[in-house]
Amino acid sequence: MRRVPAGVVWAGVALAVAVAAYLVAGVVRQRPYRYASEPLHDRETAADFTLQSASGPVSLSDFDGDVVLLFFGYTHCPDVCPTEMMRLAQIHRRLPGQDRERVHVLMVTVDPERDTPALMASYAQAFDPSFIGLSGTPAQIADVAGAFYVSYERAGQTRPDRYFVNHTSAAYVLNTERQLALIYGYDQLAAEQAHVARDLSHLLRGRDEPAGRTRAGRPEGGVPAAPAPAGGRSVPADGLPWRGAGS
Amino acid sequence: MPGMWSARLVAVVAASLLAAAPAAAPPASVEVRQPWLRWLPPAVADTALFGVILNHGDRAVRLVGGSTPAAERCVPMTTARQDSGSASGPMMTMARVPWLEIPPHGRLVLRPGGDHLMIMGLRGPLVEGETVSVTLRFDGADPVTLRVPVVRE
Repeated sequence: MRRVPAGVVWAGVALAVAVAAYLVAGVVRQRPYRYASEPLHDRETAADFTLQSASGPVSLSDFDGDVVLLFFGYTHCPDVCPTEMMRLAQIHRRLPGQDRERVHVLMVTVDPERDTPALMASYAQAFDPSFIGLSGTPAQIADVAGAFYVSYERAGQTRPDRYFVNHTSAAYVLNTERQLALIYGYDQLAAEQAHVARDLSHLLRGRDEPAGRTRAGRPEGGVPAAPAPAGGRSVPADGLPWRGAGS
Repeated sequence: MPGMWSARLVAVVAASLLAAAPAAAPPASVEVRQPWLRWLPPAVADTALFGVILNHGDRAVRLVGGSTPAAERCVPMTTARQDSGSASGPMMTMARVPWLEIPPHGRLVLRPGGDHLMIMGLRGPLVEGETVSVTLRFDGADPVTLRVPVVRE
């Protein structure tokens, strides 16, 4: 039997090692996660608020450590709100069981004159028993809506208690650190439910933080951030990597 | 004898109606496919009817309203979007419209987030799975009465 020259053997070994290293690197370096909605790069910590539920006051900070889906609407809304609440319930049901308990859907009324906390509770819970309906004084509602740039106005009033409320329709996602991470449009909630559910689970895991990356690597911000490299997440000197990254 | 007179009057009116009927163009034929009413939480007094309305005729037909024993009024409405200029998404607006038009040999799609027949002032909560009688009224076609299922969707 002819002997294979040592050089060829070593070349083969080197090639095998290189291929293995490439494969390992590919597995270790996680693919950038793609959200259904363009993630917000300057993640602002949402200001805390306290509103009334049927069973007492609820604060946004009560859910720190979990993920919150925030939606603004009203119970007399004949078309847009029920559609969106139905979608949110479908998305919520798609979550794995352990995630479902840590993704909280909050509906805040934009019609505080008619929507009492009790009415909000019965409305929200009719879509999913875990959903939380919130109301407050008109001034409190205006503050909370303003913080999320939600616009709303009465329209088509025929009687003092009969009118519509035109309102913006986005749903807001706050991550485990109460930062505004994603905004979903009306159509996305209908068309991309599986993807949205994956996004929420992904945020619960707390990985992939474009705000910190943007801040550490691109101080000017506003540029789509590259995904954080595995294990190489840079932590600013203040030791609070993803807080207060808002502009 | 008032009874005689009113009977005569009815006969005359009926005769004139019969005489007049052939003069008018025959009403266009309208077909409603997959109608459904949206289930909503019991606290809500208004809901909407969705589905597809086909116009098989040569002239445009308008959906002008309707009636149902389940509610006070049926009103054509449209949900529209206006740019809000912010990340909070478009402003969703709701407006009554005098009618919704179905073009000749065309269709009108009633769907969530668009055109719909609003069912206002429900007399009681709709139950998922039940069917409700709804009559649609048209300008240019005869009324159509439907059995419409209540769907949670």
